[in-house]
Formats: sequence, structure tokens, C-alpha cells
Amino acid sequence: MNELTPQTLRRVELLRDLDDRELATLCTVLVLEPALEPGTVICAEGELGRCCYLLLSGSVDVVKRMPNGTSHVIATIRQHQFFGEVALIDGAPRSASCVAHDACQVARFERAEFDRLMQGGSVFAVRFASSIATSLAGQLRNAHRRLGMSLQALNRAMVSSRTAESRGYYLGLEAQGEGSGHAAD
Amino acid sequence: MSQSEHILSSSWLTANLTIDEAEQLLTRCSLRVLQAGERLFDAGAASHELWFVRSGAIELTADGVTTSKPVRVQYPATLCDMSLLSPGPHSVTATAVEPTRLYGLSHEAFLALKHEAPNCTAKLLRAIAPALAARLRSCNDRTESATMERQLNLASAGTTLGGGGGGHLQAMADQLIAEGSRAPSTTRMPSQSQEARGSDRARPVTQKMEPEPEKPGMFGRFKQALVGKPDPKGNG
Repeated sequence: MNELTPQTLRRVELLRDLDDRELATLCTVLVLEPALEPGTVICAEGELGRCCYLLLSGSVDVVKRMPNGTSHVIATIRQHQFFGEVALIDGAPRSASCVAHDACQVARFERAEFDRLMQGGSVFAVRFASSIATSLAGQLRNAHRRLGMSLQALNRAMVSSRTAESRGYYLGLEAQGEGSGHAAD
Repeated sequence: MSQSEHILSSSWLTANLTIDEAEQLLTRCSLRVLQAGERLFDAGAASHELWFVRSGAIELTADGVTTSKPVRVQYPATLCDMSLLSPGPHSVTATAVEPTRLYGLSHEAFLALKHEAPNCTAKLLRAIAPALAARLRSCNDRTESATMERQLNLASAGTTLGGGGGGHLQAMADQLIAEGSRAPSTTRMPSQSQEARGSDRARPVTQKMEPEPEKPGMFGRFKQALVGKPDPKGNG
């Protein structure tokens, strides 16, 4: 693909209802990247996010580094989906890496452009911000649920370890008593 | 001070609205008056409204997570900002502790506002999205910490963490409740000029990922506790 056209962008669900003028504007702000080979890191976990991406062809793995040092694919991005879009909101370090799963073509959407469109009251920008915020709210609900479960599990582990500690202490006393008795015999 | 000016100046969510936009927002809000002891909502009930506390005070209590302390919120707090975007069950119970007045903005009213007043909606989104992103990152970090602490606790089975972890657990649960009701500590989306000053271009997509140092913070401390302190002489 050499250039972006409104026809190409109309295949993206989030952009489907935009008029030709809005789509033409988007074509001027999205930057088409050269074709990517499988395994190419599009954005890396921990780096500051300054843009998001639209996947035009291929698929992309979302890879998260685990505390034990291993990495896991936690999601796969399909054709015509945006990814890395939280960077448009806060520019904070990426929470995961995005790696081309197979041959890919992506378009980059800079945060500065997004901000300019938002300030100009662009229908697309408002819709995109709403989509990102809605997705964040859903993720936050899930994260709260996971945190609640983790705290409950931690609570149980603490109670369990205290019980084990107490039991071990009393078992130790009993063993000591038995031993003393046996020795007394 | 008019009601719209009151809303305009009070909440972190509406601080950037003009008076006209605040009035547009207010026409979409409904007033709710509660007496002391009256429930605003129960944990688990459907949540579909954002609340601006106009006067009085509300107490938030969590059920089931831990024996967390109630959190008291009052003017100019906002409650249930997630409900505007993603209706779902309430995670806490909210009860008025004195005569309280609130403005409610429902999810449906917010959707209607998107069409009627896109600039107003854009400003609300510019305030709420970074707040949600910050809370999500914070929540994920705490979940990772709690998971790590649990693993350490199981591994050490009744050593020092077992005695000291209760306070930490309580603090995490309290923070979870409090975060939903207070103004975000993070900055808003920067303006275009701010972005232009502070940005460098996005990294080329062909750049390969380099190994990065271990993330500092709570996790790092737990891991250090698990594996022991590094030898200052570099042995071992």
C-alpha cells in the first residue's frame, strides 16, 4: 500500500460512519509506515507512548513481560483495529509490547495530531476519545475485580500462614513435651 | 453563584467548561436530595449515573474485599465517573451522612449530550480519560503487588510478612475505594503547544526492543525480600 484513502479507512469499524471530509482529514494525519516483517517490535513495553497505530493488514501480538522474566502474548490485534491508543490519552510508558505476528502494514497516529483534532471539535476525535475512555472504564472495572480477588487471596494466604505458624508452634511444643517425657523415662 | 457556575468551578471534571457548556450540562442533570442515613446506591446495584456532590456528605463503604474503613466524600466530589461510559455494578455502597444534594448525569443523558454539545463532551472526555488511565495503571500495579506479596507470604509461611502484611492489605483496599471519589492526581491531556514543546517523534517501528532494567517500586522490594539483599561486595 502506497497511500491511505478514505475507502481504506471506511473499512475500520470506528471510522465507518464518518463523512468523506472527515476521512480525508484523517488520511492527511495518519502516517503510513513501511511494511513490517514478522517479529518487528512496533512499540516496546516501558517506553513513553506518543502515538497509536491502526493495523491495515496482518496481525500483531500484544506481549507482556511477567515478574518472573518470561513474556506472554496477552492479546492479538486484528486487521483494521487501532492499538496503543491509551498513549493518546496520557503518554505514559507502554504497559505491553506490540510485535508483528506476520507481515504487517500499520499507520501511525500522533498524539499531537489527536490533540489538535480534539481542540478543533473533530467528530472523529470525540468519537475516538469516547471509545478509548469507554474501553478504559471497562478495563478498570475488570482490574478492580482482579484486585479484589488478589486481596482476598492474599488475605487467605496470610490467615493460612498465621494458622500454620501457630500450629507449627504448638506441634513443636507437643513434640518437645513428648521428647522430654520420653527422655524422662 | 449560579448553579452552573457552581458546577463549573467545583469539579475536576468540569473545570474547563465555559458557563454556556456548564449550563448545557446542567440541563441534562437531575437533582437528588437525600436525608441523613438514606442510601444513594448499594454495592452490586446497576450503576448508570455520575454524581456531582453539591452539598452535604456521602460515606462510601466496601463490602467483601476487606474490613476497609468507610471513606467520606463531600462537595466538590464526583462519584461513579465510570458509569458515564460503561454502566456496570457499583463496587461500593454510598450513604448520606447528613442532608445531601447531588446532581446526577445519566449514561443516556451523556450520550445525548455528545450530539447536542460535542465541545462540552470533548472537554469532559479530556478530563475523564486520563483519570481512568491513571487509575487503571495504579490498580494493575497494586494487583501485581498483591499477587507477589501472596506468593512471598506462601513461600515464607508465617515469617515477618504474615504479621506486617495486614496493614498493607488494608491500605490497598482503602486506596481502591478512595480513588474512585477524588480528583485525579495526574495532569490532563496536554495542549497541542505543550505536546509540541515536549515531544520527540515516535520511535521508528523497525527498531528492535532492548532488554530493560527491572521495574522499580513495590514489586522490586518484594523480589528483593524473596531473593535476599544483594551483596554490596558483588559476591554471589
